[in-house]
Amino acid sequence: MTLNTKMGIVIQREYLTRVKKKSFIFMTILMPLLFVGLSVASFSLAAIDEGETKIIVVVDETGEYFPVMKNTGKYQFIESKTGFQEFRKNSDEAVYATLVITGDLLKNPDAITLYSAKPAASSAEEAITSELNSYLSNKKLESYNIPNIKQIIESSKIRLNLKFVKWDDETGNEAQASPETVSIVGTVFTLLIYMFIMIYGGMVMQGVMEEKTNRIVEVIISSVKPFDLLIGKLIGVGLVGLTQFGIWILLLLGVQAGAFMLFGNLEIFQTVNASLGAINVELVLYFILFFIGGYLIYASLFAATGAVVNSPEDAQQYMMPITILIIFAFYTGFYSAQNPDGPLAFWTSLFPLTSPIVMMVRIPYGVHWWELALSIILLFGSVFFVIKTVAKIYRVGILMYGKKPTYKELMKWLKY
Amino acid sequence: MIFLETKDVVKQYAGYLALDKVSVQIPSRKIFGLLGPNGAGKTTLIRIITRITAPDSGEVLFKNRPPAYEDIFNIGYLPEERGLYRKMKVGEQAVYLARLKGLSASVAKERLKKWFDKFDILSWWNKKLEELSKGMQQKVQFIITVIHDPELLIFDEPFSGFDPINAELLKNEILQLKEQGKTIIFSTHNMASVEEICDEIALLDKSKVVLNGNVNQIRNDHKQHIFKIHTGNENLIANGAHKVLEQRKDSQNYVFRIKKDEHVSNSEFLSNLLKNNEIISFEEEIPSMNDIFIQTVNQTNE
Repeated sequence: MTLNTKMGIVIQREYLTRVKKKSFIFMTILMPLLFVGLSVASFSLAAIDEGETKIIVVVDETGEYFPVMKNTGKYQFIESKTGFQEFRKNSDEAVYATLVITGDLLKNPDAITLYSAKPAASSAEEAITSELNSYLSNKKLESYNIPNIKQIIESSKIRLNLKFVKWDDETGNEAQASPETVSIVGTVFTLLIYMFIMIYGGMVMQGVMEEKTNRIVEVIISSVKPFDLLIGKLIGVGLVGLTQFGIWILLLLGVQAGAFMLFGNLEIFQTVNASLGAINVELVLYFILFFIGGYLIYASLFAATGAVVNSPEDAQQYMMPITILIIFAFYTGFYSAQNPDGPLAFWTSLFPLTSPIVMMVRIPYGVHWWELALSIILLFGSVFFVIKTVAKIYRVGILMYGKKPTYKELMKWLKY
Repeated sequence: MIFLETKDVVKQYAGYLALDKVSVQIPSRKIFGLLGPNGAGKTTLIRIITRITAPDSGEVLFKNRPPAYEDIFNIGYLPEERGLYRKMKVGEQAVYLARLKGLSASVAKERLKKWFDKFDILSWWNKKLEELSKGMQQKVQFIITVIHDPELLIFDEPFSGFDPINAELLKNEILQLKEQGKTIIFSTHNMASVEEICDEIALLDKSKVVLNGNVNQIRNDHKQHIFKIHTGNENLIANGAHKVLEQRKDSQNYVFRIKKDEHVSNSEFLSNLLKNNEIISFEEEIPSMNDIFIQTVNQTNE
């Protein structure tokens, strides 16, 4: 029996026990639903009216403007017969706000004020000014006494329709890509890679800690080399992550195709498709590549943490520096979406501990091939170095019980 | 024949000497007791034998030659701190561990089913480990240790956690393994079980071997010349070659516990006794391993 089949058996167990878990199946299906559900919910919640119509009392001293005001679904305008001072004394709870117009608004645009007990919503301003504005500008135009002025003005309005096209030098392909969709796609992928590294890195740590604390590691180590066990675990758990990602991509394609068949090429699906269009094979491949690199680095560090500690409480202390690094990478990635070619984005997308996360934001905007190549070389070079170092700590740590070692002792382990 | 031998094995952990020139010889097809107080270095020695760690100096000989990688498949190791995957199904993890020991999945399954049936736990095959009682978990662990039919078996405190019935079952299994020609290393604090099943022992204390050899030989060597004598006489007369340690009256007889003068041989002493007393029984007290253990460890501590 060769070493590789040993590692294969370990990989198989690490992979199968996790993929068969109900929680994995549950999360894999639930996460996209949750994601879609939350974004839909936040959109629609913002759009929902409160349902209740609010009353705005208009004290129009000119008598000219009240007939212009139109009730909207949300606001109802009522003319007040009494003067403002008198009205204020008998203020009514049911009245949302009071609009006071004291003079000719064309001559004196300041002669209009809205009084309310609470700061008025911006939608109230819109309801009031939209009709008044057009009434006033029409009146102003008429005052110039130029025939057909309305038509002239109308025909002089030109609305620009700016299209965003990403131009690919090598293939000559052109793809619709508005900065908005590109930044959404970049942000989503950054979030995804961050989540994957955290979740699956944490899983590796849990696994190592479980084997150490229940001492099964002594049985395993007597027939498998610690290095093979470590690598087997890293690969097995990593494959679980890739499986989940693969399922999500398939789900996405399925939903896209399903929606297309059901609703045809409706306008809203064109927008959705435009952002999906920004997710192409190239991006998915880079995601997988950077996930593998980032995952291997961080999961190895987490594995070392799991091997060093004796209890989950102890783990906190050693996890701290690692977690800070990931969170730093995540925020850098997040803000790089606004300035994807800035110096911060540039350097952090080369530094191996942040590059997997930051690079995901930059790729949809287009990155020079040499930057990508350098970043990947640096990343996988560090993966090699980190795993080599971690393996030494792991080998000693999993069989060490008792008090948790100091960082100084950890350095000694490296020399064993 | 010597199955396994360590020669001057030294192992140092950061600032702490765990093994100091430890040499033991483990004879083939025998049960070898590895004894010693906590922290004496037993587990370290076992880990070196199972190739979990390497010695700093000295060597381990497997059948009179340096060990090869394949030798680890010829060892079954039951660690003191038992551990299995709590959330994994019993049968599944048994197959996994057996495969790591070099068995194919189908052979592993076939053999495991036989053992599970023998230990009466077959119906637990598809249960998660955490659903099993501690005794049942120990049985599973034992099966996993022997499943790949290794020539060398290492049991670290095998009886801890077993009730008397299952401890007896386990003891018989271990003796049967010896019958089948296995070599067994048995690490324990339980001296009664050492007397019962061990052929040879090594006593480790403070990282050194302080006592080793055949169990009967060691017990004979540690005799204190103490005898228990049943007699009809109220006073024991033996030419002053003894000291009475204890004296009491049985229903009809007197029982003496005496310490004989070292320079007088047993037969000389006995013939002297017989001349002067009515002797009903005469028995030399052989020290228990427990006494020898405590005595030896205390001596080395002085």
